[in-house]
Amino acid sequence: MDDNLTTFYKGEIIFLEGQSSKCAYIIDSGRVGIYREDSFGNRSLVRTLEKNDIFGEMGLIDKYPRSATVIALQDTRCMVIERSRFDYLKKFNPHFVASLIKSLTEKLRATITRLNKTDRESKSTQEEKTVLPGFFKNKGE
Amino acid sequence: MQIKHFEPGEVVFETDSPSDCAYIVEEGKFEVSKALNGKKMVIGILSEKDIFGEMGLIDGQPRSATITALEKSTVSVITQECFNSIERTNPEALVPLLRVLSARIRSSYKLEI
Repeated sequence: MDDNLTTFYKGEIIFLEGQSSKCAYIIDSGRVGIYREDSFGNRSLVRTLEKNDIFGEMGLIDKYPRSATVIALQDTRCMVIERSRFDYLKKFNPHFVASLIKSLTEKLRATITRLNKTDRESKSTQEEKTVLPGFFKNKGE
Repeated sequence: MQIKHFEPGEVVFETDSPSDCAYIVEEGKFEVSKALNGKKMVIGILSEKDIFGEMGLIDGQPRSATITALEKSTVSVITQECFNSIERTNPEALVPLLRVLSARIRSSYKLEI
């Protein structure tokens, strides 16, 4: 597994929102920032991740482009998980899928909490948020 | 898996109630809603093969929404024991759940912009 380790230097962009997704990363040491852009192109820090945290896994799960930009906040060593390895772990490592499910749920809770907060803060935009299109439309198959 | 039936208007669970299982819609339709600023907000409709309540099953935190049957409906109940046993014996069966979570995260991100 050691040969899959790669180092990103402080300030280095690991990937950009909108890019195609080829691999996931597990942090071995260091710290990264997850940034998302609003419709004006302003980038803001959503959360930071540290040792043993995984990122970039959604692209491997659904093959859609990166949903966020990730930047190394300090020199950071990551284990790179290519698609083939990801598929292997999914099949043969019972803990892998379970830990992915947990980390995705955490991520979803965090977003829902942020959305609820925004809704409470800006009653004026409430009308636009009455329907969350497609939010619960995802078939489990 | 246990099967449960719901009549139109019947509530499966309410926002903030304790979580102990997830559900798969076998037949019928459910409405997903939240109360925000005292107003009921419908955030989605669930139909056959949709899964709901999985977040509570995974992290044990209270329900993030209210689920109400819109018509005569049937669901399969996934209990904690059932989930754990799938996790142990056939982790790949949980992969669809990864896709559901991933899709929900992406849709929720869109709402933030």
